Amino acid sequence: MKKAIRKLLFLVCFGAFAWLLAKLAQRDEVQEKLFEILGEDTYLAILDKVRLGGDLLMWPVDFVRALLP
Amino acid sequence: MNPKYEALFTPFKIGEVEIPNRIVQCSMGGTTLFGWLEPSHFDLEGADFLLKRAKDGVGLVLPGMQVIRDTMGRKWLDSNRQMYRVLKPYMDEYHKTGSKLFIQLAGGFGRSMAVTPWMAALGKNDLLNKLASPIVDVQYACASASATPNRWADGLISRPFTIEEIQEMVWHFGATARKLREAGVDGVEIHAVHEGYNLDQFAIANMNFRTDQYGGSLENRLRFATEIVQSIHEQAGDDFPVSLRYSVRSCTKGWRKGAMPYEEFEEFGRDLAESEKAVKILQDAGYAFLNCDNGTYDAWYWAHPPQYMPDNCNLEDVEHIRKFIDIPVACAGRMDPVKAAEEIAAGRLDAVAIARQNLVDEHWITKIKEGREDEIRPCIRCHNGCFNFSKAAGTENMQSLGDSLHLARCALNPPTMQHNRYKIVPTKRPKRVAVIGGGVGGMESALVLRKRGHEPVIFEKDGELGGLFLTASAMTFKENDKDLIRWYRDEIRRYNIEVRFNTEVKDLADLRSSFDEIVVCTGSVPRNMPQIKGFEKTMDFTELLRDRRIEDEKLQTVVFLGGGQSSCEAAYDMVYNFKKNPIVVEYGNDLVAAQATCLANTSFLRDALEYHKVPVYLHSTITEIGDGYCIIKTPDGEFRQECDAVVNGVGFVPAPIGDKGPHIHRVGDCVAIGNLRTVVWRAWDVCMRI
Repeated sequence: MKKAIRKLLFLVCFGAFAWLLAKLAQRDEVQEKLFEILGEDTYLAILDKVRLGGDLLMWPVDFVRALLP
Repeated sequence: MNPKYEALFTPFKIGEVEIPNRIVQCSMGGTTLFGWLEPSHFDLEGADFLLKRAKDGVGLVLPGMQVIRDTMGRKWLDSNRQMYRVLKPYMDEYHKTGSKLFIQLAGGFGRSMAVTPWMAALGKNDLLNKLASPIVDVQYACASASATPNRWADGLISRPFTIEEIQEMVWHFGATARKLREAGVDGVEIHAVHEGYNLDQFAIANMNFRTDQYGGSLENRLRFATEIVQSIHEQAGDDFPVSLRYSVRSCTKGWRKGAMPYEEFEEFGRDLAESEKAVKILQDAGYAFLNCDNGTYDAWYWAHPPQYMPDNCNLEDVEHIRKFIDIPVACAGRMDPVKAAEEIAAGRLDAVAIARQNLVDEHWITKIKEGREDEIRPCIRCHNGCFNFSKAAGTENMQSLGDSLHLARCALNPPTMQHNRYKIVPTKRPKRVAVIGGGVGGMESALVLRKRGHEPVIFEKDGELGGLFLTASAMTFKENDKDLIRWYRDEIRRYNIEVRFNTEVKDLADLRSSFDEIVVCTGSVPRNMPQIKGFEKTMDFTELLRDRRIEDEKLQTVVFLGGGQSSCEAAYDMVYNFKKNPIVVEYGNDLVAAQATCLANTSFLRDALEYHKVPVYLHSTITEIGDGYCIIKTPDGEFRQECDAVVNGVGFVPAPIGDKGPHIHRVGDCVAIGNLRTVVWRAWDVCMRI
């Protein structure tokens, strides 16, 4: 039971951390800094993949939403 | 406002619903309220875009087509109750603008379904299709009136709908309309006895071989469409207005063959005589508005006209058909607002339907009202961002996955339908930025930088702005491209951006001390193929088009080495406008076989060159170029072709200057050869982060 709670806690913390990281990465200042550090080619290649990944992720989300009453 | 537009801003009625003005925003795939390919849901991006359009002053907004049963997920549109609950407050907000909104409900694609390779594989295999059917049933999505060949995938034949399936769909049209009305939507538009979509396939005799009540006579072929409006009136009320998207003529010569605007031909689809009877039947069935154009997927350039088509290309037919009915009629297809206003004022037309202009400039109506029409960014009808379904011989729909998920974005205006990704955020650290090159990439970069608060300076080696786009826009029919260059030059002036003309930058080090950042937008140069003997004798596009060698009387027979878009456009200009003899030699198996170029554009060029009997050698190349001749190598052997010139149409290679490094950025064709969309979007991607 304790193990399950610990796992759940870990998942919640990890999710919250990922969410915070995603929110932080969306800030304009952070984007400008990443652009500077990574260089435009790497930055834009990653951005492209992230955007497509986001789109594909939304598909099952919409699918489940459409099934909800 | 200029009085020539006044007639556009008068109200009219569709049934009992008053539309505040005569401007209708045509439905565009992707600008949907309930998602495009995804399972139905309330789409926030689409909703934001449509509300902005209403705020700009569109009288009647038609969101993108919504298939009555999801292609993916196969849920009926009336089944998602949450979606309608969210729609209601949205409609309350929407109505504050004074604009009206009709939702376009579609009976599916039938044989026009733009299947991708994996969809074609499913559709051709009964077992695989059955296994995938809970998520996507390709055979259902492609089902049609009769067994007919798919427009996109060779060997994929539509199965005929059963009577039960038709009647099930008819009922759901009514049920969906009732829910939309309850949510505050002003009306619906049925999609479509138009453009060769499913209901059109029922209506066209050469696509409908049925022997039941849905085939045979014109009344029977229109029964599906008439039963839909009756079902809507039964379930949503007789006074709920129903519009119909309608093609007056199919302009189609056969499967996958369209007719040129100036061509005499035998109509394969619906001709004008049948259309005169059809509109009367549709009006009597209860339709309250006809939103018209011409064409089918086989003649796609009528419904989605590229620059090669004339302005107002469908107007004459639409005005003709209006004489046979009493309900209002709108016309779509490269409509010029001034011409539309004249026709409305003269009582020959009721409304103008405009689509892609709404993507490229979100304030175009406001600018007309305020007398600032010179500031309207023109649509160049490239379809690169909004509608790039593409196909060449032997391929299915080649559109990329990212584009399939996001139609209705704009090559020239990145924030359209992606306003959270592309936006102007004022900079907190204004910088001096040198922009090397005054082509589209350079001008767009400078504008984005200036709007953010930076201080860009453009260095242009020539005496005018435009770069290689001056060549691309030099063809006779490229008036929209020329307008775009004019618009860019005006914007550069309006934003007071410094341009140093006749200044060629050869070493970036010279600029480092005076600028914080450098954006290199030096474009591309024609590809060289020294392995071809005499290649140095070829002429490039700039010489042919911009330097006007195309008008030279001595230049009669011209061989284009390469069958890409530039070659085919130039060849079309030569044969159609200058009555000369172009010949196209292409290494691949088809002309303009580019992934990102819309089939509406490419099929026009292929059909046009065929109509004008331009010799096209596929799977071929040139092995030698001499004075007054070239040697063409085809699969059947080599032959000598007498000619006045060989044009280098084998493409371009990037031509950046300087090394990459911190604070040095690259935009446009100097990174990789693309199109205006890749140039403009990269300019934003880079300049939003400087």
